Amino acid sequence: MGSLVITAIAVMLLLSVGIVFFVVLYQRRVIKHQEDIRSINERKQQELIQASIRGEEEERMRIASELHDDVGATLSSVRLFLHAARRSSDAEILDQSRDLLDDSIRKVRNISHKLQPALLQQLGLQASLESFAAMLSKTGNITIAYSCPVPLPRLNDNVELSVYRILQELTSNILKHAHASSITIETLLLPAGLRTVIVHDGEGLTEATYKELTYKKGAIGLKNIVNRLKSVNASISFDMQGDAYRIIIETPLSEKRV
Amino acid sequence: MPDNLSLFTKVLIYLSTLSGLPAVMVGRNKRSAIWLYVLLSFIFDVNGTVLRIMNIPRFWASNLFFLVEFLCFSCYFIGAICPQKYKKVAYYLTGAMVLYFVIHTSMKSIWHTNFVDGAILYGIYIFYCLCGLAKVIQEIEYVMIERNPTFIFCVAILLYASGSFIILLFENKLLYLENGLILSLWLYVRNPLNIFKNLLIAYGFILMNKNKWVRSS
Repeated sequence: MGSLVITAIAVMLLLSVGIVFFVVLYQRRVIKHQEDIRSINERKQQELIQASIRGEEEERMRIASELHDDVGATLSSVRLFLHAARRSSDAEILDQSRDLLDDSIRKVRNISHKLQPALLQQLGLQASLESFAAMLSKTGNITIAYSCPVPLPRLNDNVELSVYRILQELTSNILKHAHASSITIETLLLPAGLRTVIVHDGEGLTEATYKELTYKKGAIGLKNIVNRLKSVNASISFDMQGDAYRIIIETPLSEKRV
Repeated sequence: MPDNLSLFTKVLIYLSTLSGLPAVMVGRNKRSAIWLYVLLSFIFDVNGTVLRIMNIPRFWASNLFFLVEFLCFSCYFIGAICPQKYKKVAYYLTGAMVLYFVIHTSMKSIWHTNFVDGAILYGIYIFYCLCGLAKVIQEIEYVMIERNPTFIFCVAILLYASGSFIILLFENKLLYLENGLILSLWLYVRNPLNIFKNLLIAYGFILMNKNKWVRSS
């Protein structure tokens, strides 16, 4: 009896000590796990900010080089022509100068359009995407079709711009990397929000590759997409429809429509 | 106190008796249920030792101590770990348990320690402590768990209750079968556990004071 009681006391004490150790170890594990998650999130946040800044800088450099190399050069030529025309009053030189000025105006307009698509502001997402698809199809390298079964109403400015930019970036990536011959873009207005679907027959991204790339260094375009998605609370998913790759963007429309 | 006890045993008894003093001193500005417990426990320990020295029967005091201990621990744990919506029920259950203990002990004899009901109460403390530890895990308030006073109090009471639970449970049987063993268990198991518990509670109060200074600074 005595030894039984002593054993029982020892077992109880050992159990208690075991429980205490378990609690200590468990709490340390939970805290470590939380710290890991926090550091991953911080790193990802940092990368997104960096990508956003880098994207902005690259855009500025592109605009600067377009202004300097293209518009600047054309305007310098105009200046030379006008200088020559002052001496000779040659009508042909004046005509050439006018043509060059027209060219410069068109280039400036193009840059301005790239910065903030006027069509998007004036006519909305549907018209802009129709124009975008038609413009790319004109190149002859690829067939791009846009469909919108139910006409889209005007949406929040931020939603329209974000969806448009995301589609621009995704299409640009498909053209650059996927070697696709046809792309189909579809926008559907659902009760839950706006669903945008891109289907292409090239070599597309999978969900896993997309996530891997967004976590890796570089891939500024994809990180910009992540930033844009975040800004409108949207989500993106990748899957396959037969042999074709499909990208779906779900954008909630809780914000007040314009 | 019997003369046949060794010096080591006597020192152990005195240490156990006085071990509550640091906790009483350190936590005196807290005025919480756990501090009240430490204070009353210290008074009961001193009383028990004095009665033992004077060879006066002291078993009646154990019943009162069980009651006081249960009330203090219940108040502390209900306040610290019980969700707000269950607090009322928990206090009713505590009241019911006190009533049961008083009636059951009175029916037996208030002059003899009610060991079995005491064991039930110690079982309840183990349950309280497990709930307390679960809450500590759920609500991680401190990066280092050993800085959490609730965790320290739970560990102190859990170890103390785990050791004492079995002694109380088998006390009645061992009292008749192996009287020497039960005395040894009280002296060499319960006394060290009592010292350990009181020192840990004192450490918990030190942490509470430190945390208060950190917050106010």
